[in-house]
Amino acid sequence: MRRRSLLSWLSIVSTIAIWLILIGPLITLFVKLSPSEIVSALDQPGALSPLGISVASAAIALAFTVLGGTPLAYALARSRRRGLRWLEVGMLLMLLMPPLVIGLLLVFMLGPLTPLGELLSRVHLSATNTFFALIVCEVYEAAPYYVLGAQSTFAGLDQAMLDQASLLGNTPRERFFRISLPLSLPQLSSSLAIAWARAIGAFGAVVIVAYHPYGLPMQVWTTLNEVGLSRALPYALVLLVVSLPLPLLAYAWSRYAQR
Amino acid sequence: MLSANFLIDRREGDVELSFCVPPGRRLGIFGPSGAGKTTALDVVAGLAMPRHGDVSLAGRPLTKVTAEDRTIFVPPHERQVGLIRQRPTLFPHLSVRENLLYGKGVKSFELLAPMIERLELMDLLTSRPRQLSGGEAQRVSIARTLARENQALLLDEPFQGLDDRLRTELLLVLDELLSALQIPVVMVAHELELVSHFADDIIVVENGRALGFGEVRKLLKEPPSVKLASILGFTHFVAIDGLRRIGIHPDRMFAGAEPTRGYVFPVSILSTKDVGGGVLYRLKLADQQLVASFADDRLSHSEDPKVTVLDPPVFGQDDECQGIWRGMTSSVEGAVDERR
Repeated sequence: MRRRSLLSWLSIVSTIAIWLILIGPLITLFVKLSPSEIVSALDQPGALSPLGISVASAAIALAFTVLGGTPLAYALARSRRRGLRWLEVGMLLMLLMPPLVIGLLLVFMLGPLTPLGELLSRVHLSATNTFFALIVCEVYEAAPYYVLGAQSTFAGLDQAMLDQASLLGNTPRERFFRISLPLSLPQLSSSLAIAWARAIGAFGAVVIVAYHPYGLPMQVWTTLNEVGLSRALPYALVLLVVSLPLPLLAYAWSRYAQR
Repeated sequence: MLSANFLIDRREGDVELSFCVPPGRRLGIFGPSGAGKTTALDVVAGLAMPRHGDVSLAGRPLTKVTAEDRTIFVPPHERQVGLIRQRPTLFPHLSVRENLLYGKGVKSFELLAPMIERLELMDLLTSRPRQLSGGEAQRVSIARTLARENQALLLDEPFQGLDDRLRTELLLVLDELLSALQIPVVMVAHELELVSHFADDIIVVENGRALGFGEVRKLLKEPPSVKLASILGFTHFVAIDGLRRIGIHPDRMFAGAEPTRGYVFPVSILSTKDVGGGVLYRLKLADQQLVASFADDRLSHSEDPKVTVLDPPVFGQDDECQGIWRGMTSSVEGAVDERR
């Protein structure tokens, strides 16, 4: 048998250690939670309404992100126009900006006394403490992840293959729907799943702009502040249950498609 | 008629070419890697924009770019030009059958059946591209392009990377399939043998410029310049008098003296090597060393060894062409209109 060197032992140990450290909080959650606590916390009237609000707002935010973000990502990936590089830089800035800062800036941009805020109020919308505000925050927190992920997916398409589709008679539109999109779907779904997790877990901007109505993260936060740690934990579990399966599924699909 | 005449910028230097291919005729563009051959096809296909120039097919202008502005540019999907590349680029998410029927305006499967049969793809129709071997994928790629009604066909090193047997077989099939189509065909290759077997006319390209042009047979036999001759495989140039030199091609000489068939040279034998089917000789001929292979070792037994150089091209002093297209006395009379 081949003897492992000290270095390879070290790397194995450090790999396991890192993994345990990263996964630790998840293990803790399941160790700390008892089934009776979950039931008693979620059994109260209205306890599950934050779940409904979170799922609905994240779904709308993602629909908006996909409809607007996919063409943008495709343009960023395929066009060589210099102006589009500035759009890309803007996207990257939004990705890197702390959510709390986004929340603060949203107050100044969409608050009731701003021109945009007035415009919104004319169509009976308000971006302060409303369901709409929640969606806006989630779009800001999630969209850059989807757009930049989708852009790198589209940029990775084989140019010679796309050229061939054109030469076989496809207009750019047909080529997008028959070649680019189907070939990108597994990875697009990965980006979408990450965006979903970001949207449903959005907190930084939400706590400033959309304190009400409570989504799951706000529910966790207020329960923690008003009642205590043990009561907040069941909501954390619910948050995980809704935010994780989609990313895991998408991950599995994209791994499967790459085989 | 496919006609192209353009100048295009590339990172490796610009490419300036001009050629015409009548329907049913095949042009080979031959030259070393990086000479600009693929770029030329991209311009015809509409995948690249020249700095200036024009491309037209069957009387229809496809590209027309003047120094001032771009006046006409038909996008690739409206050109009806087929392109088969070295790499098959099949659509991985579609079956072979779906790949074959992908093109717009493709003939019905029933009409395509003989071609699919001929390319031996019938058993592969339900396969996915990733299950195919390199040769199979290239056959699908060829069939996919031929399944459309193309007005012209471009082949970019289509047999590169296939083994010799497969390549010969595929060349024959393609030759047969194309004979039925009366369209202009352009093939690009960096192997002379392939081009000379496939094409009627040939352009020799180096560093983005045409060094020579003509009917394959004639150009190979009588290259107009020493430089062109050396690209076409003439390895040595030997003076026959004070003014003239002849080009020697290792494949076009034989052992023994037959003055009626060419120039006879005395040689001295430097070494020999039996390579099974023939004998490899290292010879000294008029102060130059060269390697030639003959069917037997007759030369070694001769007391006064001589070789005959078969009907070689003769160059005068002013044939030292330095990479400029020397007027190109086109040998394809009538077939090509020289719009330069």
